[in-house]
Amino acid sequence: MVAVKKKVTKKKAVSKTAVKKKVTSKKVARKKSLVNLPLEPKLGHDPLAWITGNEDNVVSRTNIVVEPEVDVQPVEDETIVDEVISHLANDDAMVEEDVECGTSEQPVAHFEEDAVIVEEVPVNKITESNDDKDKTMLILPDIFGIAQADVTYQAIKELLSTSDEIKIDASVVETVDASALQLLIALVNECKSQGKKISWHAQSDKINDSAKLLNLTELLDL
Amino acid sequence: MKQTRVIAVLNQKGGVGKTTTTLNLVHGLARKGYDVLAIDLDPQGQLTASLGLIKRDIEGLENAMLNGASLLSVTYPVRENLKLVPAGFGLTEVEEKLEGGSSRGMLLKNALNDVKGKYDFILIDCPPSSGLLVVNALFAAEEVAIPMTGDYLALQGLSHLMATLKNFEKTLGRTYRQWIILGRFQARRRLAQEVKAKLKQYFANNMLPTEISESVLLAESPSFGKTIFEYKPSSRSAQEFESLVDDLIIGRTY
Repeated sequence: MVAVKKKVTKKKAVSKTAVKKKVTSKKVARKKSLVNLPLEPKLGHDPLAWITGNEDNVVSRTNIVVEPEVDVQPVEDETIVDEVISHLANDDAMVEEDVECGTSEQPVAHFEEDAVIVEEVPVNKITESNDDKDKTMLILPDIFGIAQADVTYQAIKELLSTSDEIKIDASVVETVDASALQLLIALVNECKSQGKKISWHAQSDKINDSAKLLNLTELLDL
Repeated sequence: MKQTRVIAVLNQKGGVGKTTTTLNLVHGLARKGYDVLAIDLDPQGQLTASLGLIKRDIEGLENAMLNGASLLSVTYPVRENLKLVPAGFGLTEVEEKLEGGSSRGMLLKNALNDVKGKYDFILIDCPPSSGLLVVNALFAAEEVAIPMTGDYLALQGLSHLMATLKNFEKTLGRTYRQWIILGRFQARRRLAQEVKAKLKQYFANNMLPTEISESVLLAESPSFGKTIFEYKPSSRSAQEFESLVDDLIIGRTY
């Protein structure tokens, strides 16, 4: 009787250890897979970019490119101490504070004393290159994820309906997720099926790395 | 006559640890044998209280700035090698009472003429604003220490501050030696690590390599009127500040 009890206890102990090992190996496997996943950055906008002059355009979180259509003349240097004092005392030293967004359909920029007012640019502006002559360019946003997929999809649809060739400019892409890659694959496939030419005008390390990790480089023609 | 380093501890954003940084830097420097003067330019008087001076009607900096009193008359010894010019009861009124004219930005600089050369370090704890008091600090200082935290809003505040400093440098025709100090740091937060990486990207030559970890001890010590070196001398925070003091003395950056 005692021997049977001992056997049962031993069996229970063995099965408990087996379950524990299984759970641990699952945890390790999960941890490993997490390590291999590209990490989503926790910092989106870089407010210091202006220091190195890399912030040519003001890019909003929704990836609407806001750019003045007229040359902005630099405000004359303030060399009088009093002016600086009142400027600082009024807490108006923000660099970006001179730019405001309006709601008109057409982007218009005009001067009003020292302030430059740039009105909102339509969403499809992101499909156009800075050079308006090139209507074949698809410019991808710096943060290219699920939140930007819809806007990019609309842009792709428009390009497919108006152009026989599409060039992808991914030069500013800093973040990419699986939905964005999926969209790009769909675009490549659609172009092939419609017999349209598609090429990379500028690639992004982030897209290349992610595509490589997911074995999608061939599908994306990278 | 000493070669005095005048450092404004500055960031218009609140809660980044300006006073905590100033408090422990001044005491850390004094403990190493340097003659140090701490100036409490924040009308809230928190540096004054943190150093153990809680008398409310004490005469302080406002007397020197508004009434032309000598800075020596409002300087109090608070530790060995460490003296303090407290904020004083009426410092809030400085911005309201001062009339126009460029001289209103030079009051602190002029007041410091009395004591410059007597100290190795003068550290000015600035208020979290960009008003006239901060303008006074910027006129008086040659170096700026900027405490920062590892979050996005602090980074945006830094962008604002850098624009302000650039304006100021242009006006004064001189540049500030800038020291960025990463405080309240939570190393396990990825956001904090990314902010740190961003700071290193732009300010590698200005960023002190010792970061100060978030610690409850640093929050507790002021209520006892003690610095971290007195409150918990063997703590990690005390060691970090010890190292930060060395960074500042020798100008060690990344």
